[in-house]
Amino acid sequence: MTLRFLVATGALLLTGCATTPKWDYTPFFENHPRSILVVPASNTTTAVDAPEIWSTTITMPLAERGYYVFPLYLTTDLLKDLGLTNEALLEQLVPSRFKEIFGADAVFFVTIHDWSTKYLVLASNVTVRVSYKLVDTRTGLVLWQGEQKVIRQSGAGGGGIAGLIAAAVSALATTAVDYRPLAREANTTSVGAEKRGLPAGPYHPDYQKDYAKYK
Amino acid sequence: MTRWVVLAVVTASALGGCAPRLYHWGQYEDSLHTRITDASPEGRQKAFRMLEQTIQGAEQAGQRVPPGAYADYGYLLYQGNRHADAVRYLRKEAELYPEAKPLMDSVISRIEQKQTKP
Repeated sequence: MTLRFLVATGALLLTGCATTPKWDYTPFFENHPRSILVVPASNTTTAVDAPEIWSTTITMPLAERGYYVFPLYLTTDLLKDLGLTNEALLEQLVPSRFKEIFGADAVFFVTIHDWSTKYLVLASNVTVRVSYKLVDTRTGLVLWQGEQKVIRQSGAGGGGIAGLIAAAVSALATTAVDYRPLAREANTTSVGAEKRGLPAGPYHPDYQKDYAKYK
Repeated sequence: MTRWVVLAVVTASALGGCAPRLYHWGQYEDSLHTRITDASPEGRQKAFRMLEQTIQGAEQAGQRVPPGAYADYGYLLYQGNRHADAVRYLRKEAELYPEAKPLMDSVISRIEQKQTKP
């Protein structure tokens, strides 16, 4: 029983860390951006609040990689003023417009594929799956792409009577699911992934010194 | 075997979390989150204070204020009709992060245009 649980947990954790195929960083190094504009996320899920909640978790990982990240609240309002309220319009916009309007070197597009809680008999699985695309505003080239899935299982940990009670309690607290820790983990893991994440930006001590790691 | 895999994954993520930070983040994320989840005047006030404390905390500790924090604070000041203070903070953002200068200049000129209108 214990072994089976461990195997299951191992599999879940491994799904969360699955790496995406190799990426050619040549366009990235040739156009190394200093600043990143994050635009409102595209949402394929039924969780209407997912893009806004997700957006609160992205500034920190990008800035900690060394990039200037434009103030999200202000830029989102500016986009609304310009009538760019939906993600389809944003994706169709010529990338150089983001340079003209914001002075941004690159635009960060995001799609939320999964943002859900599934209730099992004694536990619940919270899942967040997000894909990322960084586009150069001068050339229109895709500089980087990533995808990350994070699953958190709760309620099955304790075992015995205590575990059953814990599971019941966690299943009751349906409205209180906080997706931010999963969103943070997805963002941080994808951006920081060894050989496959974002190379360090200008405010990071490794700026332009870490290229060998991504070849 | 599986146990080792689990341990390795857990250790890797734990190490990732321990890397020294470039910035003092304080309650920056919580401030953004509060604005989204609580649109009431109280919610807005709470978000404003969180951002204010984040900036003060960074300045007092001699740490760098994160990208966007001064600009975001300036924007909240503008929304609270404190236009002169707003411009002051938007300028601070551009001074600390030259990448932001074109945008800050254009936002400042919009604010100044509004001020001169009757």
